Amino acid sequence: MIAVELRKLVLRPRVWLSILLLCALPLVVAVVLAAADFPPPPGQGGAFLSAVLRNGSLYPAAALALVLPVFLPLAVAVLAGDGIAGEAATGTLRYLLVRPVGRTRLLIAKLVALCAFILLAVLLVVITSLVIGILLFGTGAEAVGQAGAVTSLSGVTLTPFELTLRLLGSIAYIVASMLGFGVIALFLSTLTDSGLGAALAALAVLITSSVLETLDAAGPIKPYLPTNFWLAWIDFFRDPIFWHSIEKGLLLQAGYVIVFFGAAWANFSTKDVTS
Amino acid sequence: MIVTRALTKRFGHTLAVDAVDLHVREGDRYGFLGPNGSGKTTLVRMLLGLVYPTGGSIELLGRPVPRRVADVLPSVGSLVEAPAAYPHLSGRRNLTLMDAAGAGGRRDRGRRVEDALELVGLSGVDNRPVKAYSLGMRQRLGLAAALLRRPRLLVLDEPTNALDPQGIREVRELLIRLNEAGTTVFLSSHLLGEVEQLCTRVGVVDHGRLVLEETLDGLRRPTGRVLVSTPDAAAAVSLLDGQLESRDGSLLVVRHTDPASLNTLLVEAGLRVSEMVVERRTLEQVVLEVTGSGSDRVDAP
Repeated sequence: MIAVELRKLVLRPRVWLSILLLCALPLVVAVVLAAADFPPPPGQGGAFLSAVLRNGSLYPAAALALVLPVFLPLAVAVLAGDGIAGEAATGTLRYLLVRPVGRTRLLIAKLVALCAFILLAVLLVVITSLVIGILLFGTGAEAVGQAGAVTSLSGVTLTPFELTLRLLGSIAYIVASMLGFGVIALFLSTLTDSGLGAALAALAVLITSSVLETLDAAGPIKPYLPTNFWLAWIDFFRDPIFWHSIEKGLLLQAGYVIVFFGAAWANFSTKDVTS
Repeated sequence: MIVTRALTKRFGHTLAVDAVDLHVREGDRYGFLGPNGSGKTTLVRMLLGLVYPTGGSIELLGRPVPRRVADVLPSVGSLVEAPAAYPHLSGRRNLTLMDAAGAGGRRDRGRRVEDALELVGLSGVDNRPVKAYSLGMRQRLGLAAALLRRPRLLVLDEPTNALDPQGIREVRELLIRLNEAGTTVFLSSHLLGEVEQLCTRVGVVDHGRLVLEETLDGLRRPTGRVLVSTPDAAAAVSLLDGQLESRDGSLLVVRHTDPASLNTLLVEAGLRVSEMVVERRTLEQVVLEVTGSGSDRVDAP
């Protein structure tokens, strides 16, 4: 069933369209920056944006910072929210279940397809933005004196190899963050026959979490908000890497995956399928 | 093939299926009838493990459902309400995905898909996505999905919906052919004519209860009356005094079990007979007798 879900994923025009749009946002920002040719002051725009003008190989990090807050979760919510509810709406859910595909097996396949989608989306954003960054801003050889080397947020020079490792770490961390959020959407998807409803409900969770994060009064619950450690991957670009938030974030996302996948399983496996 | 005992399903306060004892035997072409909202679809969904019963038990091909439903579903083909497919993919691709979702090796997949398309008359279908299909084509595709892997039992809900008369006949002939090759057919419908032409046994539900389960021949056995049409009606009335039930012009309804001897009686008396038919109840009369109106009729209190 996992193979079937993966095939359905790549055969779906909507999937490629959403990834295309994700890759387009960093492109637009890069073109605007290159045309203006002065860096945004630190603190304005996304993370890393002021640094990329000097070195394009850091642009993937900037691109990830651009898509992470809204666009990536949006794409994840749409896909995961469609997981069960979309099958129910087209009527294919009942035909899958009588094929038979076990309900647990179907949910696991949906989870794997969700992982694959996030990984694919993040990788393509990184690759396209790397190409864009190098084409538009160069590799910054003149600034640091070594081709491909970049300066970390802490001011230490990183070799291309180190940069690649840190970028891979960031990708893994972002995939984990999105997965924690996507599983919430997947759970909501088992509650309704409307994929749109599930996606919107997941976005409502995202917005609520982001709003609470900015409130000092929400201090006690802050460490448990799904979005709280989303930006911790930036710590991969410090020297030495700040592992503290990264570890906490991974633990938190693992908790979300376990709790909400469990809830999705409990609900779906006992549910009357009347769609 | 299908045995249910006191099968009950309650949705909140609504009793959708009420203590149904269904008995479908191997080799049957079983017609499952009932007005809209009488619980047909809920019962079909329970048989397939989609909806969980609140009471009673189900045995499908000898296995308890829903507990062991995964063991028997590979030998069951089904069409539950409307057919469904991924609209952006072609029919062939849809069948391939459906086949891959079930058990069964990859090696013969292409052949199984082509066989199923052939059976329902779609073997020449191109790569258009299903969203461009007509309703009839979708219905055929749904049937093809049910026929993948040659099931022992077919559970079909309104399989001839959206088909034209030609298509309805094709499907009927296909089902009879499959049945003769050993497939048991369970067909839920409210098209009485369709069931009458196809099925060997019928079950009728009304308001969630099974109100009748009998062979079609049993239901349609002679009523003990003969319809006689004669230009000499007046003479016939006096001859058949006591056996006559009613008269409408030249048409007489006679209580008589043996049409041959009735014919001899009339002819020997010098009366001309232009038509003589043994009266049988139609399925429609039987069904309307045992069921109330469907739940889609809502009268003011």
